[in-house]
Amino acid sequence: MTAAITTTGLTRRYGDFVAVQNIDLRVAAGQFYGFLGPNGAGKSTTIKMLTGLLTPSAGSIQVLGMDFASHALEVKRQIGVVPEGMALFGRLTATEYLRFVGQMYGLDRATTLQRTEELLEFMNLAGETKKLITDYSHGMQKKLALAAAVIHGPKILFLDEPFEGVDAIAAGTLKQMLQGMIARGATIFLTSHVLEIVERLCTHVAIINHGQLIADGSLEDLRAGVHTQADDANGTTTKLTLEEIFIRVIGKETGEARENSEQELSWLG
Amino acid sequence: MAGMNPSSPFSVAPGLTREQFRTIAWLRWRIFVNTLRGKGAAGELVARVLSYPLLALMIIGPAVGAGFGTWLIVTTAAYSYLAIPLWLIFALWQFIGVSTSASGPSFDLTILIRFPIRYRDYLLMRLSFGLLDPPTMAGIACLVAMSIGIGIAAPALAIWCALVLFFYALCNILFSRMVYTWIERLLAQRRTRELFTVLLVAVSLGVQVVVQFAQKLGAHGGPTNPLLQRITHTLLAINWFLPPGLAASAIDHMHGGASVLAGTALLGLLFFSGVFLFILHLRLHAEYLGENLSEAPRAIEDTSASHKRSSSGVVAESRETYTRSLLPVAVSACLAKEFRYLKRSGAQLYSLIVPPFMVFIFAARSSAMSQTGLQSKSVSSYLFTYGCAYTLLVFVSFMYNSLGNDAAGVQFYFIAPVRMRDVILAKNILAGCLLAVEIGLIYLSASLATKPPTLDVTVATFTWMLFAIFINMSIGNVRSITAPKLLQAGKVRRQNVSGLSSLISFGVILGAFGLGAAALLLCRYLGTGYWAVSLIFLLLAGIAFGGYLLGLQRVDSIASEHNEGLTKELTKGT
Repeated sequence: MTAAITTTGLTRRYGDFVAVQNIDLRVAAGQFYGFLGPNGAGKSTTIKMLTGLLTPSAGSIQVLGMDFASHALEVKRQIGVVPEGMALFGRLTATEYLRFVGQMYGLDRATTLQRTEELLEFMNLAGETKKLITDYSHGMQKKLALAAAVIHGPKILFLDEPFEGVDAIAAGTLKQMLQGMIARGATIFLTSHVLEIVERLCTHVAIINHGQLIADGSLEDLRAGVHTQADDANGTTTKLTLEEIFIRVIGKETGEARENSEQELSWLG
Repeated sequence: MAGMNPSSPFSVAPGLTREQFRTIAWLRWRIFVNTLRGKGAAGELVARVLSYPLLALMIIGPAVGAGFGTWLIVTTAAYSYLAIPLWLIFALWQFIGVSTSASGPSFDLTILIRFPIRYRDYLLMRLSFGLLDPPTMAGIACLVAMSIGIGIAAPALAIWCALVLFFYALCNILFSRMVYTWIERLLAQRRTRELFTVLLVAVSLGVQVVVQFAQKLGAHGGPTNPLLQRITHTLLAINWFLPPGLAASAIDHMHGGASVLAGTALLGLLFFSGVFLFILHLRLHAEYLGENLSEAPRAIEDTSASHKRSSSGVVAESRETYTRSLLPVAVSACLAKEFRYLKRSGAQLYSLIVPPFMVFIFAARSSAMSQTGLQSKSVSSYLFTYGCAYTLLVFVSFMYNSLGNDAAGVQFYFIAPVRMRDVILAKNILAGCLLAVEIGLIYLSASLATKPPTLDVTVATFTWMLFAIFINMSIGNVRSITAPKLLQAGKVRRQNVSGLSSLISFGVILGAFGLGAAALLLCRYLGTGYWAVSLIFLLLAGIAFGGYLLGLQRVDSIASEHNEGLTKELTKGT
């Protein structure tokens, strides 16, 4: 299987602090790749480097066989991104914004307008075209950011927390679109804290902690790696969820913290 | 409800208000200190240190003038003339505010409504924060100097004058807060913004008509013209019922021993303060209750209508406005986006209207000076030049922070296959076009207000502008990327600014003015006239343009180097 994204020794330092350390990733074309980690683990820093929002301190990034550093513009034409800040221009309307984005990606007029219409319809935003983006709810902004990220038909889609602050209906719309893209051969790289969604959508998962990649593979690989076929009290085997795998992989600190928290903050409630 | 009893930490305890004030003062201090940390902090610190003497000069200069002038008025017993410095202080207080930014780091005080703060405390906070703004400090310093001037000339009146001027200061603070709070409200929505723009244009035309009318009357009989005398008397009579006149009247009557009349005048001043406070309260109370200044209410009304439209209608409408461009696609797309932003940025539109309006004000002032024989001939001859210089002062703030309005959208420039050079070029093209329109309007204003500038002065001014614009754009482009500040839509005053960028732009403008003056003096000395000045600046503009193009070539590498800081600064709060 050809690689959509490959990183070698990807590192990002902030002075003495190493946010991402020596990461080697390989995302095959057509994969729905979940990139997980606790807060401050280095997920956003990694996705920023993969999308050109941040320059790596060391290492290299290959996207669709092209070196990002030397072919930045060509790579950017092939990818779509919904970054953490959503990259929206608040004082444009949705139609104006999508038209602007289409033009910036070099789409012709007719295609931009047609896709704008289709995307707004699909995202249930067609009735909101008079509003400025700044007046949109968070969920509507997320949907619009996703529409903008796909208007040029990218081969790889990078999504930083796409389901954060999105209601169930909007999340359903987003999932439907993403699954459709995967079915048509696109590659999706997403970070999310909603592990149930990642488990349902992603074919492959990587887990990062303290800037280092600590697990990488299919869900089955991860289960096998952390001995997830654990016996329960009755002697039957239980297939652990991604959340349980995540907690085991990240370590026991989380569990300890939870135990301690029961004794602390006694004034709450 | 558990935890909501009188001793609950949620209730507004008597000591809490003081604590809240202290906390907000601390917050402002911490924000100030934190701006001096990280990348570019040393430059910011130097900029601040260097700007303080200028600020002091801005405050001390008018204060010394006000103090001395008042002393002179009181020693000559011409008490009624006290209204003149009081009107000047009023003008200084209200009009300087438009073109000055926050003296320190600012934040949106409306965020305070999420905390358990009583309305009256919120009102007090809104009133008290901002007292260190240059116009307020200058106004207060002038009034203190006036008190000292009166105190020296007539010690018996010192306490009364201090009291009257204290209430006059309060009246000005309330008026200033009221005006700017309402302007921000009016500029926040499209419909009211359009009305406000029309109103401003009407006022500017009105001033022009008044100036023309006064000049005609002056030409027919001068100050002895009966109609002019009648108008002057009417204006003077009205003056005594307005705050500056009332304050002067209170002092004048007390000097004459008419304490009841003096007290009545002071009550009149208090009445005005009360009215301003009430109008301010209407706005702030709505804010306190959570009213949003966005265009959401209107947009929601429109939603039902837009639902009825067929989806193809969206495309049909877009097709109508989709035009081909001679520029590269990315540049024209950015240009269209910039133009849309401009249309929706009330504060920017307001700034663009001000320069031609100021030409009329300047013309009116020079006309008034000519009546008293104080006007030099150069004022009317160079009105166009002065107007252009003022416009440049307004525009540099856009040039040195051209990405500030993009906020989180700036990320898009890094994830899309677009060069930052094209984005900056689009911004520069729009700024250039706007400046061209502005120069045209100033030419028209100057011609209507006095007389059309001569061709040689026009060309010399134009070439000087070209030189100054390219120099400022070259440096402004770099500063926009390396020291961006997030701009809040709909805010007229107290926007975030980079102290170092302000200082650099000030130095560049000062240098450009100095070069202009030097070239003018040299050409006068050599007897070559303004055409030689034009030639010098045409040459300098050519060099500046070359520098601008070279700078534009480097924009991508500078943006790549600073992309992290740039996106971090502009995505704050998203």
